[in-house]
Formats: sequence, structure tokens, C-alpha cells
Amino acid sequence: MKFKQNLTNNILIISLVLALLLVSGCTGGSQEKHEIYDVDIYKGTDGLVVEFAKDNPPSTVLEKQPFAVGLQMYNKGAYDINEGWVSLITEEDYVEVRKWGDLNPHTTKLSSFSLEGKTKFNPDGGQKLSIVEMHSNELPSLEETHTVFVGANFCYPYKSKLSDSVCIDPDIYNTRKIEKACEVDEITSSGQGAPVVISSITPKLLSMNANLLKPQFKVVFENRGQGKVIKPEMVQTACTSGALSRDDLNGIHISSALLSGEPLKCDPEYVLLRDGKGTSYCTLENGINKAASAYTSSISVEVEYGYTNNIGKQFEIRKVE
Amino acid sequence: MVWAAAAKPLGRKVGPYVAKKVGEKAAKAASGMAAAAATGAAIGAASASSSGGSGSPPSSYTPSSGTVGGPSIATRFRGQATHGDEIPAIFWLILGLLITFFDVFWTRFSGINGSYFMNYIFNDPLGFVMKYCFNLILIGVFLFIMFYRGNWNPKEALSLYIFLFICQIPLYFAQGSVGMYLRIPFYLFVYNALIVPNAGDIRKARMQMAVMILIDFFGASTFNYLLGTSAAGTAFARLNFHIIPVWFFAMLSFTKGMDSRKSTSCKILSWFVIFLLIAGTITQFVGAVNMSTSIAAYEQEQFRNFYSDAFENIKKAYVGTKEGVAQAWNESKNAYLYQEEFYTGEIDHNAKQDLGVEIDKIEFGRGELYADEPIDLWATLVVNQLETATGSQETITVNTSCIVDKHDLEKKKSADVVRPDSFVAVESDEMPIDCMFRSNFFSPGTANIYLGAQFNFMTQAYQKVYFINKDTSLALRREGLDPLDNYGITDKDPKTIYTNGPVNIGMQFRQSPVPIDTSEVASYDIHMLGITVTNQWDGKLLKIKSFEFTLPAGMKLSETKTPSTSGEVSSPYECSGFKFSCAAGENDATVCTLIDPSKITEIESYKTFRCPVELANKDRILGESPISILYFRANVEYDYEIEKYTTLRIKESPEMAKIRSETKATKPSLSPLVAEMKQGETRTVDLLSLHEDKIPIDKETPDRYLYFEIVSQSSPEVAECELYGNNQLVCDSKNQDGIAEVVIQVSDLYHKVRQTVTLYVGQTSLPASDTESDLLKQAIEAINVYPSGADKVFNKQVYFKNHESVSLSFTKNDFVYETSSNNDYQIKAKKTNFDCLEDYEFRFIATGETGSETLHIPINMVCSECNNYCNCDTAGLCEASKAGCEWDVSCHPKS
Repeated sequence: MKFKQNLTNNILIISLVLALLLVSGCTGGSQEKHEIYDVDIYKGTDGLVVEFAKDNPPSTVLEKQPFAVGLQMYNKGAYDINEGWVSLITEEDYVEVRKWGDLNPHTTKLSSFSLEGKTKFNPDGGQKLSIVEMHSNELPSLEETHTVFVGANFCYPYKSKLSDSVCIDPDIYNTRKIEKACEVDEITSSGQGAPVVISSITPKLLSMNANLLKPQFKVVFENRGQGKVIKPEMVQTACTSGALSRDDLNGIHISSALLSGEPLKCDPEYVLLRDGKGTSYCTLENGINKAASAYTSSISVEVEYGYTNNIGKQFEIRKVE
Repeated sequence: MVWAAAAKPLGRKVGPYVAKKVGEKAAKAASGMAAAAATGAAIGAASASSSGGSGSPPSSYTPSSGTVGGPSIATRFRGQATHGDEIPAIFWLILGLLITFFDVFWTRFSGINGSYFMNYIFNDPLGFVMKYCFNLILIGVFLFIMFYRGNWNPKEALSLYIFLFICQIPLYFAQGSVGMYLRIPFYLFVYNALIVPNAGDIRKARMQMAVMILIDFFGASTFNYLLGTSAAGTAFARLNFHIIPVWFFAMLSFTKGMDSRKSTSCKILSWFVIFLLIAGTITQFVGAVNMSTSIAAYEQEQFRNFYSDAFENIKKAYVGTKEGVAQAWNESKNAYLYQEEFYTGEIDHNAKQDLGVEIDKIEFGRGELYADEPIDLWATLVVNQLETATGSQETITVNTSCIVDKHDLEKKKSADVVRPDSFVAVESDEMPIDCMFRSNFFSPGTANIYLGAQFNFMTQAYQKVYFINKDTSLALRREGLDPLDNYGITDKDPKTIYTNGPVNIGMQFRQSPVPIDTSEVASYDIHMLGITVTNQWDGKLLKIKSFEFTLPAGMKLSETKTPSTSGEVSSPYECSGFKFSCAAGENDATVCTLIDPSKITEIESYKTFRCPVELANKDRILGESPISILYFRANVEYDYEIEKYTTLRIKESPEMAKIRSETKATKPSLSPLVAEMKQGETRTVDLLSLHEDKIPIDKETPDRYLYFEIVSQSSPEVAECELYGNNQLVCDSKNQDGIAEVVIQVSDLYHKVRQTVTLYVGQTSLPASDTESDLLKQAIEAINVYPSGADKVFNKQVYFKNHESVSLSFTKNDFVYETSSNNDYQIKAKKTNFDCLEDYEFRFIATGETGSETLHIPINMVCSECNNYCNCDTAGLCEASKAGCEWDVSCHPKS
């Protein structure tokens, strides 16, 4: 009997141990966690991402009926949008804007908006749904249906910033037979959390005089987003019927370029992107001593620009039977 | 037998010549039997000579071998045909066509009615066999040829006998037909000169000739019979045998071996005839007819119609294609050369239905339409319209018409009743339209019925145009960006959209997006708006009632400084020379209306208006958005006419055809019986034997039944008659001299004719024979007129049946008269101041197939007081023929 009792106890114990092992095994996958400070928000090429809210506008609207156009905005870039603008493109003969939700109390087609970008605490970026209350007009007598276009044109200021370390080696001909602290190399980036990407910084030392060298950096910019770049000061104009010149398009402004805290002079400061690409050369005007050993220095380049995104959709206005 | 004797000495050597001579003789034969024998002999002799007794081929005969006076016609033709085709095939083809044309337009030969022929056989088969299969002449001719040839081969004998038998049939059964007599020389010629030389074998030649004779004489009725009873008959019931040139196709077959058949002219003629026949068959069915012994007038018309319509359709197809190509070319040319002169658009495909008024298929109630019956045809008018902006609907007023042969000014006439002739459609609707024609409205043949509908309608159109700041557009384009693409617009080249209907409206402003120059220096901002109104249906755009277009907010019509002509409304706004008035519309739009639409005459194709549009308020045009989307609109109200036509094949009804057929064949009239009888005598008269036209009763109309009855008898104290067994009139004279008259009516299904049988009993003398027409005699009855000086109205009803037309005339033209329907004349005539010295009479001229007859109805001047004839002498004095007559009319002397 005792043997039997021991056997039963052993089985129970073994069962309990196995059960514990199983339970503990199930929770093993949850051990990995993202730390907030691990998130690199300066990645990617997205800025403002916009889309129409689902079924707003609906695919079919009856005449003389209210309907809504939902503008879903996501700032998936690393920078906040302040004083962005959005304008609606509508067919006045068929629809009219009644109320622009929280963006604009007026019935104008142009409205401003702001939207927070990605942060370490909000790695997905800010998002906003703007509901535009609209109304369909009565169709002309012999029209049964009419296909109407509604579009939204978003214009907002944005910026891109690249901060990295760069090796400065005054021994430009590599004549010194000593071990160098660093090697000169090109800095490349696939995105800094903005549609305009500082895709590369290539260091170069130019001889100023017998003692000094002038560090120069070739900075290449690319528009890798879906929209178009405009001059930052033309942001609002771009969302209106105002005139834009060719120079207003694709113009970015280098707002800051620093090498170890010292400002670099960039030429041109306003860079025009051609075929989505542009280059500027940033130079440390004071120069560095030729006799200095190779060293690593921090470099940061920041550009400001305006950016536009457009979305459009067709829907049908149908006569009331 | 003279011809036989004449043929014998020459036969073997100059067979063809003999054949020809004998044939000529046969052709001259006056009566049926002689002609039958002669023709059979002629053809038979030719057969004999052709076979040559030795079976040598026809080509073994030479033109010079023993001929008398040179080569015979037959030999010459044969020799030529076999050796050199000197008589070209085209000759035979034309001959084949000619015989068809002769039949239709001259001889009216239509062969033998097969059913009568079969009835004849089945009614008395033994008699038929004895009379036609073994008659002495046939046997005699057969034996002559057999002896002459000396070839007693049973097959040869049988072939010859059957051939001779078939040859004689037409001569017995188609006596009196010009077509038949024409065929005797034709057969002889074709057989000897074409069939025999080309057949190569005499039996084959005989068979070919026999078949052609059978087709020629029985084809029409057999064709008709087969079509009438077969399933195919329904589909092809309207096909007429006479439109098929049988001999033409026969000639094609017989000339198959000739080299000249390959000539271009032959080919062209052959294909032309075949093409005409096919085109005619496809495009037009001709009414079936009841075959009779001759072709009726309307069948000639059918023949003409068939081929003329075939020509017409071919012509139409050619012209239509030509015009279509020309139109397409012109439109392309306009579009290319004058790009701003012609604009078109697209139908609003979003519309759920077609708009406008359409005529559905025109239908008529039955498969066969007969001239002597009322004809009703109908169609459905489909009205489609949309609700207006107010939710109500525009009313469409539709006026309908039904016109026969509309485009033929001479034949054009309207239907008796069109119902409804007008209606108002408040909503989309279907309205049945009836066109009714009284009986005898149409003559047998074809008639084109045009069912038309006039209605008011409106077409709207809009043109979407994008506007963009010029600098922005330029900047985008320099960057290689399409402005519209840039703003997510996919409908980059919007076309004018117009509501469906008879009219197409096309508009063009400028290529989108239109750049707007907002700079201060911009001076010239006038752009042309082109609007084209195109008649896109087949109907007529009768009248533009109103035309307006709307300019978007910020635009206005540019003022034009052209001086107005006198009487013209003064307006600074003008498009292509037409004045417009402009006013503010909804939402700051500008509505411009054509001031005098009546200045636009009928638009056959299109009308373009070019309007200078000024961009007056550019900020308003561009609005707040980078792209503005605006609409130009146009609206035209008009009267439109559509029509649809159908071709009716009007046939003569079987009843009427039969009546006519029988009328032609028989006149159910009696020979006048005038008999002298002694007192107390009984006389039996077979009325059937008094029937004038005996043959048709037992031959052509075997199923006919004549019914006799006594209508009235006069002087029964002189004689009395009774009818026994329908047609046996038995009269008993009494014991008193005098004249007794018995009026007999003879009738069949379609006729009623009366005849007086006059019996003179005792010493009463016979009167002079009556020569008046039997047919019209019933109507001869003096109309007594009492010339009292006042208006005299007298009625007379005269019944004419089976006449194509009857006209009425008077000896004096100063009668006022009325008549009524075709066959039943109710005359109401009046005249004042009758002149006693004048003779008055009505004259009816009845015209039928067999000619015309005139019926004279005298108007006797009767004195009102004494009821006596007014006889005036040359001095103008009345001559009282009876005592106590007092005249109340004044007689005027004859000048």
C-alpha cells in the first residue's frame, strides 16, 4: 500500500513540475521589450502621410444631401508640422464646403493645421482626422448622376537633419607614417525621418595657405517622399491659386550646418532639387591646422523646406429618385 | 400530212432544213391540233435528222450536203455553234431574257394552271389517255419519224414518243395564248440551233427540250402550288415565279460548252442577272399570286417593282456607302482643318435610359395584306424623358402622321385615320399609334408607309474645364510635371457630355487646364467658346426654339462692336453673327440666350457658334484652390421629327383574284332566248346550254356552279314558266297570243346577272335583236326626268362588279352629280332648265381586264302632266303625242 501511495505522490509531483514547466515555457516569448530610448525616430523618408478616411467621401452621394470628407493625417516624420495648410479642390457646381471641422470654422477651402511629429515618447507620430462637412448640390435637370472630383492639397513646412561624426585628416596626401585615429569616409544615410533625405556627406580638405586647410563637405539632398518640395516660404501659396515660379518649386534651405559646433558656410544655401536631387557644398571658413593629427568631429546639417502632398478621389452624385 | 410528205424526200439529207421548213409550217398552223402535230413533227423531224438514223453526231452534217438553196437555218446555226461559236452565247442569254420580258410585258403568258390540268386528268383519266396519249395525229407523226429514220430501237422509240407527247400538250391546253404561239418558233429555233448541237445526243436533247417545255408551261403553277403547301412556302410565299428568268438560266446551261460563254460580256450579263435576282429576293418579297392563264397587270407591276427595287437598293447601298464615306471624310476634314469649327461630345453614359422619342417596329396585323380589306398598321412610340430640376417633368407634345409614299409628290397621301394624331407625354411613356386605311385605299403592289412623329425636346450639355494659375502651370511643366497629374486629377481631357437624344452638343473652350495669367500686364484674356449643335439622328431638326449657354462665374461674353442691321435687336453680345442677350444666373454665372432662334433654319448636319469669352474676374475663376474646376453649360430646345417607314406588299385578295380570274374566263351570261310558241305548247330550254361561254364551265372552272332562278314573269295569261332541276326552264303557253317575259337570274359565287327570256305566242312578231351588253344590261333603265323648271334630283343605283374602274360622264357637262364607291354607283345628279330638244344621258364606262364597255342610260324628258315623252319639233313646239297633254316646259328650237 505504501508503495502505491508513494507512486501516487510521485506522479502528482511530476505532474505539477511538468505543469509548471509548461506554464513558464508559455511566457518565455514576452521577455523581449523595446526600450523607449532605443527608438530611432530619425529614420525613414515619410513626412506627412494623408489619406481619405474610409467612406468619407462615400462612393455615392445623393443630390442635396450633406456628406463628409474625412482627411486622415499622420505625421510619420521626425519633425513637427507647424502652420501647415490644406486646401480642398472641389467642383463648386456640384458640392460646397459647409464647415471645416476643427481646422477651420469658416467655409473657406483653405485651412491651416499643425501636427506633432514622431518623438521618443510617440514613435508613431501624431495623427489627426479632420472632417470637412460638405453638401451636394442639386443636379441639373437632365443629369441623373455626375462624377465629382474632390481633392486635398497639403502644404507644410518640414525639415531634415543629419548629425554624425566625420573624420578630419589634415594629412591629405597620407605622408605621415603614424597610426591615425580615424579614417576619412563618406557619410551616407537612407533617411532622417523626413521626405527630403540628406543622402550623403563627403568630406574634403582644401588647402587655404601654407598652414591651414579648409574642410569642405559635399552634401547631397534627395526627395525620396511621394510629394513635391517647395520653398519653405511658399508653403501657403502652394496651397492656393497663387503663382509659383520654377524656383519656388523644389527649393530647400540649409538652415544649419555645423562642424564641431562651428558653423559651415553652405553654397548654395538654397538648393534646387533637379530630378529630385540637389547638392550643396558646406565649408568651414576658418580652416584647420595642417599639422594637426586626424580627429573625429561631429557634423550636422539641417535643411528646411516646404512639402506638398495631394490626394484625390472621385465619387458620384446621384439624383434622388 | 402535206408537211410530212414534203419532208420525206429531203429528210435524210437535209434533215435540219426540213425541220426548219416543217417547223415554219407548223408555226403557221392555225388551230390547236394542226399546230400540235406540226410542232411535234417539226421538232421530231429535227430530232430525226439530228440523230441521222445512224447515230452519227450532229456535227457530221455539213451545211452544203444536199441542201436546197444553200444551208438551212438550222444547219447553219448548228454548224456554227459546234465549230466556231459564231452565234455567241451572249445571243442566247439575251434571247432567254427577252422571252421573259415578252411574257411579262406583252404576251402575259403564264403557262397552264397545273391544278386544272391535273383535275382534267383525274376527272376522266381514260378519256385523257385516249385523247392525248394515243391520238391519231401523235401516232401518225411518231410512225412517220420512225419509218423515216428506220431506227426501231425501243429506247429510241419511247424517247421520241414521250417527247412528242409532251410537245403537243401545250398546244392543246394553251390554245389562244399569244405566248404559246410565240413559243413555237422559239422552241424550234432553240432546239435546233442550240440544244441539239450542244447536247451531243439526240435523246438527251429531247429530254432537255421536254423538261424546258414542262417548266415553261407548268413551272409557274407548280412553283406556286409547292410554295403554298410547303414549309418553305411561308417564308417564300411572296416570291413570284415570273421574276425568275427561267429561259435565261436554261440558256446558261445549254451554252455551257461554248467558248463564247467565257466572254466578259457573258459573264457580266450572267452575274448581273443573278445579282439582281438575289438582291431583289433578299430586299423585297413579292406578293404571291394565284396563277392563272395570263399575267395580270399588277403582276407586271410586281415584276417592275422587284427589279426596280433591286436596282434601287443597290443604288441606295452604293449611295449610302458613298455618302457615309463622304460624311466621315468631311467630318474628319473639318476636325482637321477647322479644329474650332466642329465640336462633338459624348453621351451621358450615366443616364439610365435613352432619351427622346422613338418609333418602335411598325407592325401590321397579318401576314397578307389585301387591297380590298381595310389595313391597319401600328407602331409604338416610346417617349423617354427625365425629371426636371423642380421634380416635375417637361411635357413632350408629339404629333403623329402616317403618310403613304411621302417622297413621291404624285402618290403622296395620308392615312384615313391616324390615332392618336397628337398627344402630350408628361412622363416616360409608350403610346401605340394606329394608322388605318380603308379598303381599296391601296392598289395591289407595294406602298411605302411613313410613320412620323414630331415632338419638342431639349438637350443639355456641359463641358468641364480646369483652370490653373499660369505661372504655377508653367513652373510645373518646366519641372516636367503635368499640372493635373500633380493634383491627383485623372480625368485630364474631359469631353462634352450631353444628354441622350436627337441632338448632340459639343463644346470646346481651351485645352485643360486653362492657364490664367494673374499678372498685371495681362491684357488679352478673351478665349473662344465653341458650341456645335449637331443633328445626330436620322430625323429632321425642324426648329431651334431656344438656345442658351452658361458661362462660369468670373466670365462674361465679350462685347462685339458690330453694327446691327435694321430691325435687328440691338445687343452687344454675338456668337458667329447671332445676337445673344446675357444676364446673371445662379452662383454668379452668366446665362446668354439666343435672341432670335428663328434665324436658325433647319439644321441638316450641324451648326457651330463661336463665342468670345472674357475672363473678367480671374480671382473668382481660380478660386482658393490651386486648381479650379468649372463648367460651361448649354441648353437647346427644339422641334424634331422622326419617321420610320415600312413597305407594304398589298395583294389582291384570293377572292378578288378568283373573281377576276373567272371573269376573264367566263361571263355568266345567257344568250338571249327569244322563242316563238304556239298556243298550248310546252317548251323546255336547257339554260346551261344558253350559257355563252361553255368551255370555261367544264375546263377552266370545273368546280363552278351556276345557279338559275326565275325572278319575275310577265303576262302569265300568255305563258308561264317553271324551273326544273336548276337549269331546265319549262314554259307552257296559254291559249292567248301575246308576249310573255320571264326574267332569269343566273348567278355563281361572285356574279348575278339577269336575262329576260321572251316568249312570243301566236302571231306576235319578234323584235329586233338586243345588242346591249349583257353585263351592263341590268343597269339600263331609263331615268325619267320631269323638266318642270325646278332643280331635279334623281337617283340611280348601278351595280358594277369585277371592273377595275368605272367612270361616269354626261352628255352635257352642266350636270352636277355625285357618285359613291367603286362598284356601287349611287348617282345623285341635278340640273335645271332642261332643254327638251336636247338628249341627255348618263354614260358609264366600265373598264376591265378584257376591255371596256359603255353603258348609256338615257334621261327621258317627261312631261309632268301627262307622263308622256316630250317630243319637240324643230320649231320648238311641243308635239303632243297623246291627247290632253299640256306642257309646262318651254321648248327651245334647235339652232
